[in-house]
Amino acid sequence: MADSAGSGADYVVFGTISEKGYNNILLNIKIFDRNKGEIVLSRIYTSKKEHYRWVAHRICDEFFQVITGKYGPFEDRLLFSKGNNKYKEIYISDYDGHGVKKLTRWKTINILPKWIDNSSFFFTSYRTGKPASYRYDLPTGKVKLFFNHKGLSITPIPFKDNLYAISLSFNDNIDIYLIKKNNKITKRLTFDKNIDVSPTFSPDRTKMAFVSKRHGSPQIFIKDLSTGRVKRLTYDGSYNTSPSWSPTSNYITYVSVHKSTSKLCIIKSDGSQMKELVEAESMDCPSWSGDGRFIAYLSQAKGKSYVCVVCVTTGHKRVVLQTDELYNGLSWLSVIKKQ
Amino acid sequence: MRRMRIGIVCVLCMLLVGCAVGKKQVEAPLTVAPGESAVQGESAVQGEATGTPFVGEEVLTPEKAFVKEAKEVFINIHFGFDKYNIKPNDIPTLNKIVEFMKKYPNTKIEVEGNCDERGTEEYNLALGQRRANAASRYIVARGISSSRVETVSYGENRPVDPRHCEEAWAKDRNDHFVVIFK
Repeated sequence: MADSAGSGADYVVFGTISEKGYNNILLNIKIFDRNKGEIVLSRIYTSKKEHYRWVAHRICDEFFQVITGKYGPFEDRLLFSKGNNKYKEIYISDYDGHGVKKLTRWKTINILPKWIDNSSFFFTSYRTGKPASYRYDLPTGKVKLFFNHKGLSITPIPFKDNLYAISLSFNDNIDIYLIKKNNKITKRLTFDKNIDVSPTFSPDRTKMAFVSKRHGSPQIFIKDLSTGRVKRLTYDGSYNTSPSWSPTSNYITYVSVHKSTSKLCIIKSDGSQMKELVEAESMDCPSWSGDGRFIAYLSQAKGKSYVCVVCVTTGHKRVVLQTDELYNGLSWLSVIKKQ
Repeated sequence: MRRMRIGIVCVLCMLLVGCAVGKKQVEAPLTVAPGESAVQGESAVQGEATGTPFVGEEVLTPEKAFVKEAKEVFINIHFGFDKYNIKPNDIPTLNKIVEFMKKYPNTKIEVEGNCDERGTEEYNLALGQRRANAASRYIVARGISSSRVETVSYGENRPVDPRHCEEAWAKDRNDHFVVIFK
């Protein structure tokens, strides 16, 4: 701590690490607030050696909580799809791209994974030749068919009370429905003759943002689920898609596609405070961290594909994964509600 | 060329076996337009953009004639950016498909709607479905039973041309047809 004097640092992290029994490590960590002159965090962690990265992330998360009041996102995990124009498989990694693990090996097109909770997710697979939704259970590795439909169906997302929102086609209509797990449709949420896809819900589940072509080009709309009223949210540009509602605020992130570039934007649900965060050749699938501080997204440039993370407040962006193949679908898991 | 001939032989064998033993074993797709085989792991005739005759000096059997004809008829139709309306210049192609299906009542087709890499995945899946539906609706409206026309959208997952330019994207925005011999 003496060495930190004059460094300008507000906090000092220090502690000890030692072996404990076979293959275990013991960390004794303290965080000292130099302004207050007191220890603000004191924790002892025991973990297997191979989980040292998780311990480091846990410390950072708790440190974030101490200094900001909100638990950090560093234990979160990313799901994504990667492959070529024949096969795409589902992968999982830490939020920073480390520890990539392949989850499906079906040698078909598996895309658009979306977290359900911290141990399972949905994805769309062409395993039987048509797109259908499957549920993957992470602890067991078991996969079950979740929703099968004669026409198009796109990966569902959780709504509430064991209901899930999904885009389905009936003849030429592609609309958003609420379904139960027994392949049963319980409610239709959109009523347009054109394309309605990509539902995302406000944190209190009273509103749904979605993409619709009802005004001629794909734009983002918001439906008030209690009144049924639908309001157009985006007007800037002729192609605004892939909305994702922040889990902690009234901000919605989306991709605005222009002739030769795409922009990752955020906008408040009342249409105010639109801000462009990133511009790139091509982008898709923005997904918020559980604390609402960061957005992960897919990007393509010069034949390479990237998974990137951008800080919403600073605009600082970081490439966490890259490939010569193609990414498709990205979902950021907020591991646990720690509060 | 050799690889293509092997593919053709496989398909023809399946067709012949299929004729003998019935529907289940004969869903051999004939991929008749440029691009990837529509059903992975299956032998399929890879189409050629030029439609060059592939039978060459060989004797034209009925099965070979069928494959040759299918290959000439089932070529991709194309769409504008964010569009799913059939272009007037693709109407003759669809009419030929209708005539082919009337001539061969034991065939079914799968219409695969595809998009270019621009735009976003979920929306493109929906757009691809509308493109497949557009061709399906045209064919069914001209007398082909809807039970013989399946549709599927691959969104932006199956680009025909790997380049990232308007010329490639124009090829990627297509309906691709797969013939299934019942």
